[in-house]
Amino acid sequence: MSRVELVVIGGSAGAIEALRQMLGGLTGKFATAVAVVIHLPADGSSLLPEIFERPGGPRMKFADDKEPIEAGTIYFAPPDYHLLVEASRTFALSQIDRVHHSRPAIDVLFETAAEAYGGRLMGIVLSGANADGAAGLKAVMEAGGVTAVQSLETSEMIAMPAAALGAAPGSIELSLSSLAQFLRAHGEPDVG
Amino acid sequence: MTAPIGDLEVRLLLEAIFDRYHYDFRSYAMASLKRRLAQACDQLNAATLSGLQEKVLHEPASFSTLLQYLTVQVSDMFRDPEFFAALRSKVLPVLATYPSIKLWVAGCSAGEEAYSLAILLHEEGLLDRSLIYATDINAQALRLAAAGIYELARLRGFTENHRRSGSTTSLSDFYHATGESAIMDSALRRKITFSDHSLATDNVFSEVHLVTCRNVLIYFDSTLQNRALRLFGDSLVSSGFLGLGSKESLRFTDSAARFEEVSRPERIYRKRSGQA
Amino acid sequence: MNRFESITHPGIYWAIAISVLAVFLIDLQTRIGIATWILYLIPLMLCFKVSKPWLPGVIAGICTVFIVIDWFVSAPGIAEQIAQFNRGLGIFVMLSTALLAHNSLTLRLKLRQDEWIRTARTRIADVVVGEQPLNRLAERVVEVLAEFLGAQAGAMYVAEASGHYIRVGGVGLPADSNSLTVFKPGEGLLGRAVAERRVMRIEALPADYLRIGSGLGSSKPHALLVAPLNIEDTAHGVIELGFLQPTFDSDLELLNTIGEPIAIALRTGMLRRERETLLRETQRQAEELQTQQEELRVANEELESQSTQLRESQARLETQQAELEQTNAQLEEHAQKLGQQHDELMYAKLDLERKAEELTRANQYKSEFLANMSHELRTPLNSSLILAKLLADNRDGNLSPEQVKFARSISSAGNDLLNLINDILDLSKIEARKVDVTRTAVDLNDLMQRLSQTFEPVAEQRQILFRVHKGADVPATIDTDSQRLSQILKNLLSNAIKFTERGSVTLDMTTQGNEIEFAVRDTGIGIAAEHQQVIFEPFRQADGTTNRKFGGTGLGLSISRELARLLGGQITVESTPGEGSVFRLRLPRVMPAISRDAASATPARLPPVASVRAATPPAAARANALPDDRASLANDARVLLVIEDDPLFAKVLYDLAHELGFDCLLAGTADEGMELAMQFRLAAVVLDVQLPDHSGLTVLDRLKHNPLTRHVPVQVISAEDNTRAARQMGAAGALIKPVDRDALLSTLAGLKDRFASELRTVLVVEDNALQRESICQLLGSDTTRTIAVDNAAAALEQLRATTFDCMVLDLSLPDASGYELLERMAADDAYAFPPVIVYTGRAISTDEEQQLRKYSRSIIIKGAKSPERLLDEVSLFLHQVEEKLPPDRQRMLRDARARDAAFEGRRILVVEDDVRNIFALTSVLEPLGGSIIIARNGREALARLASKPLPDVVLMDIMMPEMDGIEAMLAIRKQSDLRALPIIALTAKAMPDDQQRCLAAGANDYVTKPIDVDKLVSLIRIWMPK
Repeated sequence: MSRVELVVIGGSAGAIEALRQMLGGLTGKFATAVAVVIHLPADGSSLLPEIFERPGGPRMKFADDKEPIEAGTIYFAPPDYHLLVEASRTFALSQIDRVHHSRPAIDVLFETAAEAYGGRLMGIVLSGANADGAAGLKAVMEAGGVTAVQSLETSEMIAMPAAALGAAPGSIELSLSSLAQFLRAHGEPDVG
Repeated sequence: MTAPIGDLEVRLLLEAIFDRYHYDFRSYAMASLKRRLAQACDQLNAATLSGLQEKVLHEPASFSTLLQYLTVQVSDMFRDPEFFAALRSKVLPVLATYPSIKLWVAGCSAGEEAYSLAILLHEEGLLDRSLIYATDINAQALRLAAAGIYELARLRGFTENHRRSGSTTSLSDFYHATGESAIMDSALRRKITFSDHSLATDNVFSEVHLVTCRNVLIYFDSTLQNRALRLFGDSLVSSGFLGLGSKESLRFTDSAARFEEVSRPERIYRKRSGQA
Repeated sequence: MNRFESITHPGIYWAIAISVLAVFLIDLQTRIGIATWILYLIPLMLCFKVSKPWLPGVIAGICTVFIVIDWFVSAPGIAEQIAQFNRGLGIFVMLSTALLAHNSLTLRLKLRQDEWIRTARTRIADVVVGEQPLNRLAERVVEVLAEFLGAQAGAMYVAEASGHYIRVGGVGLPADSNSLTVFKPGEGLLGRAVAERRVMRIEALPADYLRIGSGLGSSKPHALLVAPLNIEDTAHGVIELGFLQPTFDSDLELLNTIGEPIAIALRTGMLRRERETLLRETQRQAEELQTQQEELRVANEELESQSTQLRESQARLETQQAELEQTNAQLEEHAQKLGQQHDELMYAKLDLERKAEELTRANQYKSEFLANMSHELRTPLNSSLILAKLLADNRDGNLSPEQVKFARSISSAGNDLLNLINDILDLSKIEARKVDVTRTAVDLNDLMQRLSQTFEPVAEQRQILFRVHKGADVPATIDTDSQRLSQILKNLLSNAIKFTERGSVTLDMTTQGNEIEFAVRDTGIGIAAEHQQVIFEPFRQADGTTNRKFGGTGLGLSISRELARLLGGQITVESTPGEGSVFRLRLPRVMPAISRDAASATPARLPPVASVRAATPPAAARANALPDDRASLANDARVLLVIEDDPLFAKVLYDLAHELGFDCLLAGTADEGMELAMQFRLAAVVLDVQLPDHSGLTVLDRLKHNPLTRHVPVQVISAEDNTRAARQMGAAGALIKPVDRDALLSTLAGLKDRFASELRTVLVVEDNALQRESICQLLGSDTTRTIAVDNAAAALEQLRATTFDCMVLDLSLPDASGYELLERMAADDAYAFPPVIVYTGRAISTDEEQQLRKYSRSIIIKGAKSPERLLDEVSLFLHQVEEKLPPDRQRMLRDARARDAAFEGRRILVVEDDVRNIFALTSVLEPLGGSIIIARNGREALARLASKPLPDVVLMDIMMPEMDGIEAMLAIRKQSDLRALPIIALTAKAMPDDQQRCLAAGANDYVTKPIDVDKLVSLIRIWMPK
């Protein structure tokens, strides 16, 4: 199995807590890059990177247009922009139509990441209340990447992970703590 | 749409469009473009991109439809009110030292931003000596923009934005409402010239003191982005201003050294003096 | 070790003991009365050096005992009573001293301990400062304490909200220690310390208690100190320290005092941590809330869209129904239509067939007509000829000689006519492709014979030699059309004979590869080269007289040529006038089956003679025969560079330069001048404008734009008046030839001075005193000097006297407007013309702006940000970091063009709203002699075109406000008197169809931006009406 170079994560209601646990254990030496889409209202000002940032942990920021994707950094999609991955391994922002009524949308990130990274990709779908992310996770699986969803028991809202499981059966279902370990295992250097 | 879109098909389609209709999308950012093309295929009932290409080449009406997909029209008045607030406090006072002011809104879509600028200038007493060029490649959008008519429902959001930009007047002073639409005041419309202009193929047409191009560059690839920025730099007077979208920056571009930051959070830059 | 008790050197003890014994022994030896016992003070003094407060007392005691013993033992001496009393006193003194020493030592110890504690407190305070994680804090505190107290191991425990204490930091603990990490109040030793709220020392430790570990092993501590960290009565933590050696009381003392500050630091740290966690939590919850709200919104939209979809499907179904019905009706209609179409097709087909028939018939008529016509024409003609001949024969002899002559004329004319008709009919037949050729084997010998027979008589008659010859390698036959071949040869031969007065006519047959060549040579009048094509064309002759002189219809050669082609060959001619001609007919040996169309292919024209252009001689080698100083420059030399191609004048300057103390370099061309400027450090430059390779102004421009040379003053000397251009480009001055020696001398001297000062000067023209003052303050600096005046006249005086680097000008002055001042400056060369910045408080109209832009670089409207801008712009000018002009403008300046006849006096209407472009266009076209009229948009242009006189050409920008170029051109072309007005469009749009739009709207041509100046100028030249 090829080494994971990018992890894409998507979620909405209930995902913030899940992320806290998953990202809390990572160090600055995290060897892959992570891109995260959480459904956010368009006019809110979001503080996502600050919330998760801690000393000794990986760098957290909103992704900028045409920014190169670097390991050891966790990128968040800003409100009202879709986050896409270009073949040149840079981010692109866009305001094309909402997908599943959301912008940013998880499908958009996952599908473009699948095209650009192929089998060197990990996709994780977290708790949420609609079906955004299901098609995306399927795309990741079909491109040869690793796919995982938050277990329904540990999810606050199960619609999203359930839909994702339905579209990409065979994805690993993990509890939150296991997800955290899973992430670390695939990302930390000299592990996995 | 069933068939996945290969890069080759995209390139062929874009070449065909360029040859036939002289719209140059060949240097647009791929990821976003492909999604739009997929949507267009669905809308026009083409099973593959090649099928779309055939339709588009032989039916100009199909091309019109495709064009609406390729040019993203998301625009509001006083969008990102902090940007306009920063313009008001940091840029307009400098523009006030010029006897006549020219502004360029590149990628103006249906004109919302151009009208916003005009209103801002009026509020600061500068509209009389100003002239705004608003350009886009989408002829339909330009027509709408020149008419200056917007749905009344949208005006509510605009009004809120306008207030947050630091204005002490009411947006309703600048439009007349009838039924479900609102039309912008003719005093504003007179000061704006809407024109067709392509950042991919056309050149500098005038010397300006301020260029705004917001949430347009994100759809260009690096090469085209650099070309557009070069055009802006060439069009600006020495120490002229450039405004970009809230998630755009000069950071990964060739023109970074040509400008200095005036206000980082609002993405307002200034051409360094002594630069060509 | 930081302990405060200093270790007493054991030597001191020895010294004390020895001195006590020594004094005792001496005292024993001496008699009573000799107060040796005084010397006991020595050991007592030594006690001050010891840190044990009880020692002086002990020593004093021992000394007292010794004194008493000695009293009893020593030999008696004088004054026993007194001696006894003395000893008593002595003892008293010693004891007092001992007491003193004791107190002193105690005090000293106390002070030291206090300081030690204070130092410890400071160290701890240093360590707990700042925001650090709790365990780090704990470790550092324990480290410091261990260092101060000499503990080998230590640990700190902190109280949690639950009441438990957990270990947060430790030092010197073995890795596998089973030491406590958590305990409850009251539990164990630590619990007890907490409960009792005091520092405890524990000495008797169980064997497996806290072990002190190091890399070399671990051992049991000798003692433990446990100190609770209290704030008032609450223990926020506990510190435990393990010692391998015994502890001091002062240690307990220290721990007592240090407890509180550490506890405070602890609590602050913990509070801070709590607060941060809470903050994060709040933020997280806020984000979560937002996400959920978003979800709600999304769900709503989902519902809405679903219900919309349902409604839409419903509507669609209904429309589908209706459509189906419609379709049916349409299908029926369609079927009907098809039936109709079929019928129509049938009719059309019949029609076509009919037409085809008609056509064939028409052709037939034509052919028959032709055939008939020829018959119709020939018949009467024939008759006339016969009758004429009869008349000419004059059989009956009843005609007068004149009448006979008439008859002969008629006959001759008739013959000519007949020939002509024949030829015409022939030619038209050939052209209508009605001529058939039949291929047979033509016997060449036979042919030769026939031709000889025909022509020999005529040749003989004219007394020219006639010969027919056939080459040996020529085959016996040629496969071709016999009749036509004869016809051609006859034509050629008869022409040859006709045009030859004397000499010979020969026909040679030769083989050329696959072809046979029939060459007809004559020694006739020949045909000039320019006529050699013409003769083959029907009804044309070399000149009209030939026909009249030599007869003939003039069609023969055309027919021959066509026939030759029909046969698959060609005819060529060579000729020299006065000497003769050679006509060559080449035919393939076997006539090919050619298509009719090929027969009428036009012959290739002779290629035009390429005119030989005279090769331009290579540029004359630079003849810098004049010697200069370049080889002999001293290090600190002041170098003057003279760029002048006139050697005489160059020599004059060279000598003058030396007179003034310059070293001088000479260059005869602009390029050489630039090379030298780059190579050497220059003090000044004297520059001629008329140079052989480029204009000197280009050198000026380059010098001023190059950072290495921009400060060098340049004096321009020129035969023409380039003063204003030169000044504007930054020349220090300009002189016009011829220049007298004195003027030169003073100018060069001026240059010398100018070089000396690096100071820049700015002229400020402003009538308001306060403003003037503030501008001067703003701009003045170590390197910039300001000279301020308050009216135009004074400004002019200043400009006459000095060259300024920059000028700041207010528009409203008491004695003239700023604009008038500028005009005066421009009009008179006595005034230097520096870069001008207009700095004004009043609003300026677009017209005024345009006017001002002619003279000034920059216009600033006074306002909040204007001082900044003023400073910026002045700096720019002063340090000559100029805004780089569009590349075209640079070239424009460099190649200062001479006035162009095509532009002289012409009016050019420039319709353009961009001032920069207007400026650029004006500065190209005005020097060429054109006069420029400006309109800012389409509307103004139309207004201008409504009045006479009209401009000669219009340059129309496309993108303009109010009325753009396309609209304007359409409107212009609607007016009949403007239809012919040349318009050149200026467009930024690069795509072909945009440019087509310009042309479609009425432009005669277009230029795309960025404008190629050369192209524009040549286009204007082309379209300018003659």
